[in-house]
Amino acid sequence: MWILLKRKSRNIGDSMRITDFWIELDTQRVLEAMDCQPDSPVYEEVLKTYGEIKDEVAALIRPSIDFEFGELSKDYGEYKKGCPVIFSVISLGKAISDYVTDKFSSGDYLSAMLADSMADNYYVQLDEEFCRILRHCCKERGVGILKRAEPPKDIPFDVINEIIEKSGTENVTLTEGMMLSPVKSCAQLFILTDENCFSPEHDCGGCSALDCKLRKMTVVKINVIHNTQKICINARKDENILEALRKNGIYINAVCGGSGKCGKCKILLNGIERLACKSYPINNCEVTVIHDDSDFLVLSPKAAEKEPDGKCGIAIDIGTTTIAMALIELDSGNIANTYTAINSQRAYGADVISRISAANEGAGTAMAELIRKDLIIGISQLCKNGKYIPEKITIAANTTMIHLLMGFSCKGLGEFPFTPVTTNKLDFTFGELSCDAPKWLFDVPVMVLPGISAYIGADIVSGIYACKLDKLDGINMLIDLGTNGEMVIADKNRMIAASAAAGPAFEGGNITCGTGSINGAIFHVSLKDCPSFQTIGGGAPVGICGTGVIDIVSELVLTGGTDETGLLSEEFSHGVKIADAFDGKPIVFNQKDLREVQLAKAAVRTGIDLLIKRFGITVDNIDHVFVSGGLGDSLSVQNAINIGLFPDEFLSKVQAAGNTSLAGAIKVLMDKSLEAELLRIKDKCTELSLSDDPLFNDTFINNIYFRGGKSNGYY
Amino acid sequence: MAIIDEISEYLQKGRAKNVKALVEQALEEGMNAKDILNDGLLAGMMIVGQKFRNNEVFVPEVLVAARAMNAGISVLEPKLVEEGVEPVGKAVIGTVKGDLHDIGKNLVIMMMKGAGIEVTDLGVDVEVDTFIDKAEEIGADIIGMSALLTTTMPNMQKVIERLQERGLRNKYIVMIGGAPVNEDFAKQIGADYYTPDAAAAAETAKKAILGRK
Repeated sequence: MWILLKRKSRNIGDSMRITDFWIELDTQRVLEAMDCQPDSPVYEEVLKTYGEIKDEVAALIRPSIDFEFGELSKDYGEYKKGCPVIFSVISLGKAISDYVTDKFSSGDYLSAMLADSMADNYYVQLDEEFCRILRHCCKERGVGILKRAEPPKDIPFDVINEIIEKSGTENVTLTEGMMLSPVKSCAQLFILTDENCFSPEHDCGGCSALDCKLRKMTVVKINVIHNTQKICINARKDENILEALRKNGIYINAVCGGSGKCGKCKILLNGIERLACKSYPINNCEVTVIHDDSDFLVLSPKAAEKEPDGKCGIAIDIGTTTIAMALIELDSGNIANTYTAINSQRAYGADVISRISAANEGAGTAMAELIRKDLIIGISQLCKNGKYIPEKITIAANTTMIHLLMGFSCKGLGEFPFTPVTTNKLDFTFGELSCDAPKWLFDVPVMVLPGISAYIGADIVSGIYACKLDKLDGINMLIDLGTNGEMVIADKNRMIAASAAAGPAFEGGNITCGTGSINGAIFHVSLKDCPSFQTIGGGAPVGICGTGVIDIVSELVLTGGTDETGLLSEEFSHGVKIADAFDGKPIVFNQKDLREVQLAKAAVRTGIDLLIKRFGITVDNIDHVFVSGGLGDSLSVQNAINIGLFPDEFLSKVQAAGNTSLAGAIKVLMDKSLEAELLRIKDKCTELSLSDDPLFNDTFINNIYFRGGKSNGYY
Repeated sequence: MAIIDEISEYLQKGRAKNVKALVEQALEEGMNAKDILNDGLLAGMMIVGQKFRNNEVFVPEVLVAARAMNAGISVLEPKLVEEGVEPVGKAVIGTVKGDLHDIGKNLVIMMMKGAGIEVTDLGVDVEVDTFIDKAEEIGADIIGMSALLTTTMPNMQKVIERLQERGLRNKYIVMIGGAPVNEDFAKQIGADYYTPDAAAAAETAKKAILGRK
């Protein structure tokens, strides 16, 4: 039960007022804050009332933040006249307090207390959001935030007068008792510094409100060394270093979403190697960020790499792992330039499931901001910071990525019956999406392509369109080998799609020494005699990427390095050593990794088998198989067959199709009438829910085994 | 179980509908409103208050119980007037001048009503003389003041000083509460009672009133 509110902002003179936010009330915390735990005998009763009033109450919360950079006009204790500061006032408006008072007067105490608790929950999140905004503003201005000075603990009380006056607030006043009106308002003073330090948070550890229900742990300082930069951040003792870094805009790779399984978020904590997601700062400490996958190579179409002639537009594919963009000349359809990057949300997990979990645990706002920032950076680069202004932008992405971009609640995506907020085509301007966008981008229209369901998204609709899958003669398949393995089978009359939860193994995720397609990634391997390998860019090996993983497993299957069940032979009981990494540590493929691959390939293969079966044909009837996604181009089809990912018959049928999602988005950009075509595909395509298929279990279990690529006899 | 005990039981569970129906039934059976109020509704509410003070139940249980009590009283009210039932006592309660916090004050009002006291809510940001004038007007037993800020706490003292000036100090029981307030402060400014929570406030208020009569 989450409530969604959007965010806008505007500048008034020098001061800034923000009045709309995307904040979701956290039901559980709202109830906990009023001592209502699930085991309470009245829990159901309270929850029912909450459901009845939540929309009304949410609409009464009228948040505003006013803030202004300035200097203290006189001495306040240790803070002297001229001290650079930020004056700010946060308020939830009067309506919510009036509601609470009215409900109490009328004897509806429960609604009153619930509404009050909802307001507090909103306020705490608003304050966190404000800290993010401040960090962002101060980084842009090149100033640091030393601390939040809180009267009367840190600074004399009368500073409140100056804060109210200087913040530029219009709707908050002071009573003669020095209290802010409306009640749900608060004034803050942030002390600025030249140091690279960003600590705007309230420190519960130094706060005198000992029985505050919202009290959190003490804050410590962490010195972070990241890309030769040194910055100082605040972290709570009860949050792990991965979370603390994320809050401060430092995103390190955490494939498993911070559950301690993938081992990718390594840091040096006071010089000792640790996992960021499993380290909690007890005292002030120093953290060095080790991993950085900013040099990820992303599949994108060939571009002229030139300035566009005439009108231009931008097509975007947001993948779970990577983002690809193309700057298109609208008259000719030529690709003038391309841009690729890593989806920064990767810090919240490699696959859609971990992103959905993260969003449902409250990281939705942060992830929305990340992807919007990623888009702004890419578009700005393609448009040379507004030198060319795109006529329009089209976006294709899977349903989860669209939810995270739009700031939709991901609750429905995470649990049965997997209901998206919407899969419709969406139209808006870039300014409506992000208030951080540069001015020239504000009014550019954006279209998000329609999808089909929670797990068959706009990226697949776009791909179907790009491949003309249902226009070609015969029966054809599209397989997208991304983090989620989506596949579609179609002839001119019918079209069925399915989604297989492959997991990130084919992208190097959840593999001990796995890595994405970065420089130094091992992408081809031969185990004959002594292992030989090739790396992307030809440099020293750093890890194994998806195609390398498939090669290794293929060799193991062919040479008897693994038995039919996927048990490595005695020779490899300590794993298969592939190479020595540049830091001297061995790059090894071990038993756990093989199990990951088995699950991934069985998931995809089961999808293929069942789609073919439910389409009522056999694999021989298929004419073409388009394989899109990062693996497509460098994938050895023979090796994919050897490990059982594809059936034997695919050998002569597979065509690498590149990024079909982006290709479709480009086509839509060129011709507006094609939007109707996309809607036609959306309507025509039916979805096969694999896990509901009566043959799923048997097929899946069968496909876990290795059969040297032989057909398993199911069709 | 006697119907009166059932009312109390359901009230403790916060079952507003059942309480309402049972009160109606009790009236039909000819019980007088005063007994239904005292032995059913208020008795149930008192148990909830005690359990709250003992940490056996938490705020939400008290809230739903109070709501159920209101449901019962709404049925009972005309009969109480008819029978001429007098409340345990009367109180005026407000948040002092300059202070706009009202959650704590509202909870105290809720609990005092649950103890059978007739409460006049003065709201927030209440002028010194308003406390006294209203108390005089309704013939109150208690003046209750709430403050949540160290900056507004002194206004409690002003009310007490003003009571003395007007020669009314001994006419009223003065009770105070709020996050920055404590027993010492109450002694210092000459208030009669400080209570740390709403349930204690209601209990103390009832005892103080009955002790006077």
